[in-house]
Amino acid sequence: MKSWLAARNVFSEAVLAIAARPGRSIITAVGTLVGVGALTASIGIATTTGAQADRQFQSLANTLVTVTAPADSSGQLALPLESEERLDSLHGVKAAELQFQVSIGKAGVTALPPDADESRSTNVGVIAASPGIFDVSGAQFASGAGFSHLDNDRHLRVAVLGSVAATTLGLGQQSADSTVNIDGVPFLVMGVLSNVTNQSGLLNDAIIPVSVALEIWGPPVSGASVTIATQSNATSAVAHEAPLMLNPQLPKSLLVIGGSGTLNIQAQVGQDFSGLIRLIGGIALVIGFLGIGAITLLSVIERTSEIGLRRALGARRSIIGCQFVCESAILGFSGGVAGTIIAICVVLAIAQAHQQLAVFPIGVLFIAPLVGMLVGMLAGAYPSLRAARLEPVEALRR
Amino acid sequence: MNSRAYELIDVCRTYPGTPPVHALRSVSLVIDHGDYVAIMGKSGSGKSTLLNMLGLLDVPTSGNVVVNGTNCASLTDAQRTDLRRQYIGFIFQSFHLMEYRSAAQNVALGLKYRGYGPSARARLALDALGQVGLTDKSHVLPSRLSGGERQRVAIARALAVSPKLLLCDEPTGNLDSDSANAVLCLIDEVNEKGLTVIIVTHDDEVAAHARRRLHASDGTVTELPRAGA
Repeated sequence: MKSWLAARNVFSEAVLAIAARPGRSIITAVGTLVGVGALTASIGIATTTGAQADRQFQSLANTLVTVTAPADSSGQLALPLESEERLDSLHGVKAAELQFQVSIGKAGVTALPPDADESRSTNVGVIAASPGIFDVSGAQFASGAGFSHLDNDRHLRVAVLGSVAATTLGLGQQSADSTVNIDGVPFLVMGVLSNVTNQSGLLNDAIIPVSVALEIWGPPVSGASVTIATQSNATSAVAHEAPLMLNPQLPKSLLVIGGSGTLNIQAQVGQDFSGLIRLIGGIALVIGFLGIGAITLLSVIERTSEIGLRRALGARRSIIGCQFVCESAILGFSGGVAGTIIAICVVLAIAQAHQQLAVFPIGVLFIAPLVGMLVGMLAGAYPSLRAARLEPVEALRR
Repeated sequence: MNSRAYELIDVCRTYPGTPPVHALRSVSLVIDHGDYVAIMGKSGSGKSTLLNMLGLLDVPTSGNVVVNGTNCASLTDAQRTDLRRQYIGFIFQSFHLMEYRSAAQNVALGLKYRGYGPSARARLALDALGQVGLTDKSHVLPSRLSGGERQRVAIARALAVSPKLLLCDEPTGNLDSDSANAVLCLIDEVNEKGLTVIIVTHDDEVAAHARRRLHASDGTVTELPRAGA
């Protein structure tokens, strides 16, 4: 008999045998359905969240460089007051800002005059910064706006509150034009932040101009930093040149963070995702493999007399073995297809729930069912061998 | 075609054990094409073992089995299977029908192993069912057939592949008398058309249909005088 005809007969006999026991076949296929579905869904979720993380990481990696200077022993500000202006002229810089933590007295930050009955000190921090901080941090305002270079040059006592700081002080998000007292000194609230793209700690602080902070409280004791938002692919160059711009005499005294640092974190996260995928998928496929193998072996035992009949009618051992392998391969493939479809639905649902764009490697959608088929074939190998080795005389007695 | 359907030369079959079981002891016999042979004997006499040898379902411990001129002593399992598929049809006491397939699908199974395509299988299966008078039951599942009808489907399955040799193992063992008579009439008919029939039975009335009767006892086989001789 021609080989293609034999193959077609084996396939048709396998399909008939599967269709004859629909309940058993479904239970057998569930194994690979779960295994392939879990693996495929894991890959889809990881690539979707990884793409989201990639976008976030890329935005960070490509746009932020931080230059930090320790406290100056001479009592001076460790970075130039005109740091922002110097860096604005650097190629690849979108925005820059100078900032430092202000050490205020025990009076802290309050929303009422210090002699009012209901005033009390809060733990709201105070950050002195150049006006560029609002561009660098991607600040969004619930009310009002940030202070300008003119406000800084005029040493105006103005402040911008973070949303959390405003709440802590008992002020609402629409409290621009109200007054806060910082260490007993009144400041006009020019604006309230609703959100920032980075430096999320600013939402807990009150931000005041650098000139005013130096005038009232003097240079910071904990050093200062400059944060630079760069253009795409300019991070490395800016990170290299910024120290030279800020301290030409001792550029190496400055600590630069940005570019490769955040990209290394990205790679680590990616590795963590991949490891999780392998673990989940591997466990699920092992379960599917064992399930198909066990049920196929049970099927061989139950169909022993049928095997004997087929042998008596002229089926070679190889045909018997191929039939059972074909049955388990078809079941594995069917489970793989169903699992892939379910995985796609799960990933789409999760992506929609998190308002993300679902990302699926297209190759996985074709490979996943084939993995199911391969698992089915391997799981059915031993039962098929047992079926092929049955002697027709013994089989017909059952 | 060789005039001899079977030639057994000193065939022995021993099953290992303590003590070993000598199912066949130096059995020699000749069966010609067109013969109608009944093998009789009590349970454990070796008659089923002899039938398995004739059907190439089992291999002798020693001796030769020659089927239609082919000495099977040196054949591989695949070669014996091919020879069985080419020449031999079987009818079993317990019918061995696939419960989840229709009568026609059961009949067509042997044709599939012979390489027939779907349309040829359907036609030949229907013809075979017609020979046993079950054309109208071609789409019926075995569970809905009587015992006699199921055995007739099994006969149709054996005849569909146009065998040269028909081996029947207690074909009426699970049937009532009317069904048994109907089945035996069918077997008689196919023998009259030239098919070599070998039937294993413990029933004298069944054996009476055959022209030759062999008696198996404790592994040995002797031929009984022909009726009327």
